[in-house]
Amino acid sequence: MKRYFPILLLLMAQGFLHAQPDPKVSSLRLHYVANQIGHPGVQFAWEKPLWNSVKVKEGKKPGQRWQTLLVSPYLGFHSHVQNHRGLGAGAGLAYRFTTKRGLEYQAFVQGGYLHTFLANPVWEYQENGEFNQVNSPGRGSLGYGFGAAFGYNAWARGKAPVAFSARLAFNQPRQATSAMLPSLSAGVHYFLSTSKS
Amino acid sequence: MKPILAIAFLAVAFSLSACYQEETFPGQLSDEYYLRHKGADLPVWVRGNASSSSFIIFLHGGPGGSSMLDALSRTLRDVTDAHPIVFYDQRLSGFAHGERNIDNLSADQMTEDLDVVVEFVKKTYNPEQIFLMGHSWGGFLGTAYLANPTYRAKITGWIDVAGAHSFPLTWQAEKNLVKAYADSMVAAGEEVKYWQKYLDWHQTTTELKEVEDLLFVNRYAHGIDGNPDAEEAYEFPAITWILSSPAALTSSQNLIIEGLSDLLVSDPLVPVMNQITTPSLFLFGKYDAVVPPAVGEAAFQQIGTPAEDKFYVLLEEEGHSMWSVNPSRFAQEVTAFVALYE
Repeated sequence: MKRYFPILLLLMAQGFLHAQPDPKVSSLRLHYVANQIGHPGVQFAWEKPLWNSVKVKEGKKPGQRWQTLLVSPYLGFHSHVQNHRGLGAGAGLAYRFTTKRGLEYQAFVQGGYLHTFLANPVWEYQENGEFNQVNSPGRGSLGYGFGAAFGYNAWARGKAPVAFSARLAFNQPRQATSAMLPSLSAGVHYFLSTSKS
Repeated sequence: MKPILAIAFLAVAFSLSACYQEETFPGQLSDEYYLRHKGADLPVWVRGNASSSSFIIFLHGGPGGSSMLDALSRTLRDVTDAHPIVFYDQRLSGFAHGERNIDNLSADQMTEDLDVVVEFVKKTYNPEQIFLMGHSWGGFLGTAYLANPTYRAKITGWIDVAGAHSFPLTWQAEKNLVKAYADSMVAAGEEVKYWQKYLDWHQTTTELKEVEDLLFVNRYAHGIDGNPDAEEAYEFPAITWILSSPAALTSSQNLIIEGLSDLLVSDPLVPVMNQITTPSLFLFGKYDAVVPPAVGEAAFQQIGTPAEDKFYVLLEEEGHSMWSVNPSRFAQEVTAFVALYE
């Protein structure tokens, strides 16, 4: 793994050196997730702009306001201590507004698949009255959710091609629960820019 | 810069929750399993004194509650210091996983699930005695289990903790108690609109026919439950609440109540109470507005257990959460009862 680190650093450095703020550019998002507030996890997403609008503001404090419609396929993992571990995949559709000061406001809907694996050994009761320990393949569930995010886009301010954001989402894995379960997440976006300044 | 600091703070706070590990204690069992039975994965946590040969299986309330909050927060530590408690969550409840199917949800299915837990405890730990301890709805479930002679033979003693063995009786007692409180509030001119709504309902609803009637009075009863002058002995640490997933714990409650709606307005156990001869302890709280002491007095009279083997204790400081004000007194009663049959 160590030998790939310099390559990764070079790729990122390229973005830092040559990137020009551009709302059409895709980004990779890595978020630390607190599923149902207390259960830690991570979510990795690719955010691809589908549509955008740029409003240039002149005057004493010039800048750009961006509106972006994004699609974001994601992969995620969380662990509910002493209960289960969950693996999820899906996609979101988001509307993001970025102010000229780099503040981001976002609303999104998402849908996906969650597979949960029990955190403790599973024993199955047999008809002969005995118990067999079984390898549980886990259970799957389709679900949907919605939420909002707030962040800071450093790139929109002409700095490094990164943004930071925190998200509050409500999700319902339909085969697992009838409640909308909250999750909080926070993390970083890295813009995959190759444009030259 | 402020948003970055806020995000960093949140990340650190979440990370701390990831570091949480439930405390373990030397000489104490701390085992966790899932039992799979007929589409349900029931979580079973065993906590307590490993040297004791008497196990207590805890039946949580609800329906749709969870045992795991009590296991995580160790509110029953005075009991587990003496005997292991087997905490399990019933199907469609708490931490239980599995099919969200209410078609086969019934008292028979849930007592069968309990029997699977009993068998598992017997095979895994080989205890000399098994006691059942049922709280609230768990009081109904435990009584239903004991009404079956094959199941009953496996149980040494029954600890009914504010148990609702009869829904119509519980409803009537709860209803009258809330009415008296509502009358006093209206007379005092406090929250008149809220309490008058109850009094109007009380006047027009004289018989338990719909589960909504049960839930209606239950909401009011929970609001006035407990000793207003007493302090809770245990504070649930915030981390316990967070890790136990309050949203998940209550997420199936509506579903399970829908599945059991006919049962919850029926009274199947009173006619068979006299067949139960298991040594029994009835613990009720003086300030319990949810399952008032009158219900325990009736159960004590109705059960077929010989007089020398049945006990009724009114805990003077407690409401419906029977071990919240004076847990050592609660534990004292439980362990003294267990000691009689060890």
